[in-house]
Amino acid sequence: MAYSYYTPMYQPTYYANNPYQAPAMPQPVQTPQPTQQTQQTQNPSSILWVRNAQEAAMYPVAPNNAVALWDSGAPVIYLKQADAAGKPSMKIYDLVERPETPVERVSAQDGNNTAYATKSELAALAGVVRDADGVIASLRDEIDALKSKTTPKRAAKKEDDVNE
Amino acid sequence: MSNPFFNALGGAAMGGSNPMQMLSQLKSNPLGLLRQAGFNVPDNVNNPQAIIQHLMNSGQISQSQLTQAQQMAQNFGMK
Repeated sequence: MAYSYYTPMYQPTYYANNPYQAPAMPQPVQTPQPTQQTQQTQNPSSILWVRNAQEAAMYPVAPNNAVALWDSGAPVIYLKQADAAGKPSMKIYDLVERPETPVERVSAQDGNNTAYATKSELAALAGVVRDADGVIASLRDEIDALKSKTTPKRAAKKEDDVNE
Repeated sequence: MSNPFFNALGGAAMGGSNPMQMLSQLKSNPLGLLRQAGFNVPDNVNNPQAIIQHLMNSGQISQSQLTQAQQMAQNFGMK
């Protein structure tokens, strides 16, 4: 089953023996096109489909040839090649669809970037937080010390008020 | 470029008399049909995949011809 976003007319141009590419024939304007080309344009589908990587691995490839096999169940292309001795090798490519509106990429090295903080900025902020912690701890100690000092005086003052 | 597979099918791909019958015959008895068409296939090769690999290794068919035949089989719903 073909994916809807596959382009059947996609023709890779970097293979040595490209099965999709029509034969390149230089043609001056005056000469008519040869009828031999019509044989190859009659095939409605120019893509070779396989079910999975195992089936792609079993696909026969002639020596010094390469074949692109499209996975019918996933956005994957298997490029199977065979060297001069006929030894096969296969590379697997994942297809990634390019969205119509490209995602804006923010560079970390951009000086005007205000979306992200640098490591040095984060380290400085951590230092400020540590200092604040220390100040808070010392203030708490002072408060506790004052509480302990004022507690006996308050008790004595209350007794005086009662006696009066 | 003519395709020996298509020639073996009696020109079925070019609108022969009974392409489906010939394709099913190719699927059921590939060795017999290929030898009838003039291909040289040894007796010890009876696996369809091995037959095709032998034909390619011996130069009797090319990769593009196999690709054409595979696409034709796909279009006929043989896969």
